[in-house]
Amino acid sequence: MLLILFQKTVIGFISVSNINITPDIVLIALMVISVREGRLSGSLYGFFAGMLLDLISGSFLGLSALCYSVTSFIAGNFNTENKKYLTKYYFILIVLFGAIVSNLIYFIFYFQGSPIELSRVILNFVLTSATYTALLSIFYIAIPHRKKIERGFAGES
Amino acid sequence: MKKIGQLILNIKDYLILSVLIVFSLSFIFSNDNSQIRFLRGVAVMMFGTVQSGLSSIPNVFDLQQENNILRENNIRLSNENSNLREAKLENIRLTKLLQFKQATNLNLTSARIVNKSVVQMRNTITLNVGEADSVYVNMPVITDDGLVGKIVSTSKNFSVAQILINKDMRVTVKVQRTRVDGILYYDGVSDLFVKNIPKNSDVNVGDILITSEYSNIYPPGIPVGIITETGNLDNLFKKVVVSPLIDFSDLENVFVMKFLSSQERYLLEKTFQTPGK
Repeated sequence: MLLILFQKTVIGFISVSNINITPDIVLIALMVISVREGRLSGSLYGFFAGMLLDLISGSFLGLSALCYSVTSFIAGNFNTENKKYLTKYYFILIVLFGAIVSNLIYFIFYFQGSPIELSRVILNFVLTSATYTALLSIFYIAIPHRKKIERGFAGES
Repeated sequence: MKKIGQLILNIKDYLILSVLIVFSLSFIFSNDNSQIRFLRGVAVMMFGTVQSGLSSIPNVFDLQQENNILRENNIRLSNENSNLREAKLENIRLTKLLQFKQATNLNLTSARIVNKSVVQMRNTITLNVGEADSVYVNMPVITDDGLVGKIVSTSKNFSVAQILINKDMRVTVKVQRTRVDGILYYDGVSDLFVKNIPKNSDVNVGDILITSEYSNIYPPGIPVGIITETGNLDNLFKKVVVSPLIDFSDLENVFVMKFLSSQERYLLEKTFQTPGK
């Protein structure tokens, strides 16, 4: 809940470009939960986080829920005993992939019926936003004592 | 039955995901539902309260972009302001010239100075009027303040005028107050002088000089300059220093007088080799 509020308020201040590209910290948190807890928990967390986000953002209700639940489900497949995908650069790649999938679903729905070409949507919105999110996930890798944070994420979301 | 239960257990993740997707899609397609709208309204109101508290915090990237836009606007407005100021000054000048043109009976053609030199020994100005505008050699160039010079060369659309501060320039003048005649010339350095004024002439500082009727080029009565200094030379004449009435450094618009002296008079004077100017 805190992360969602953070996403919709503070994250807006680090938006870049004139189309307001922002990183998705909720997605990063969901990727952590999914890789740690598995696809079932991940998709459930994703669904409820997305619903909450949609409610306060005023966008299509259910759209973020759809994106997050599908993305978290996919990320949940990287759940292993030793949690090796939560370490080093694997995690950044998972976030990048997850963000691409999530943004792709989101923006395809979002721009449906508008004259903007799909290639432009992918280039200007999907890839830029996903890259920004993946770059921000470096901070998670760099933070020591991540386990506490992971537990925090699970509790807050 | 046990097998079915086992199968469902195996695919429970997929089943739950499917249910979540169905829920999400059903929400997406029922966005206009009044209950959802109400729910969203409540959520937005609550969230809006939080967000409004944070609205005073600036976005670093937005500030940078805004700063760039403001800088661009500033440059554009400065430029616009400068153009407007320029237009205003031009308007004042042209209005003054227009008033002069309307007040005088002289046949005048207005011209803009497109090039000029004012710091050399032989200074000239280039005008944007030429033979196509019926401008010819020896036509006087004036402003509402007084005499500027004369046309010395023309092309179809341009002409060059010799101005008072040109070493080759000679103008027959007279003191307006006392009608004493003399010849105005430029020393090539800084000052205009009037020569051939006898020592006993009544000439004082502040007297206005006008063109004389003896001139073969300029019509009589055009103001030329003001006497700023007088003194005696070693010979029979006075030293008379003159300041032009025109400030050549900021001169931009002039009139060419459609005045050509009588050809008959010119030829007659030439026959007797009389000094013409």
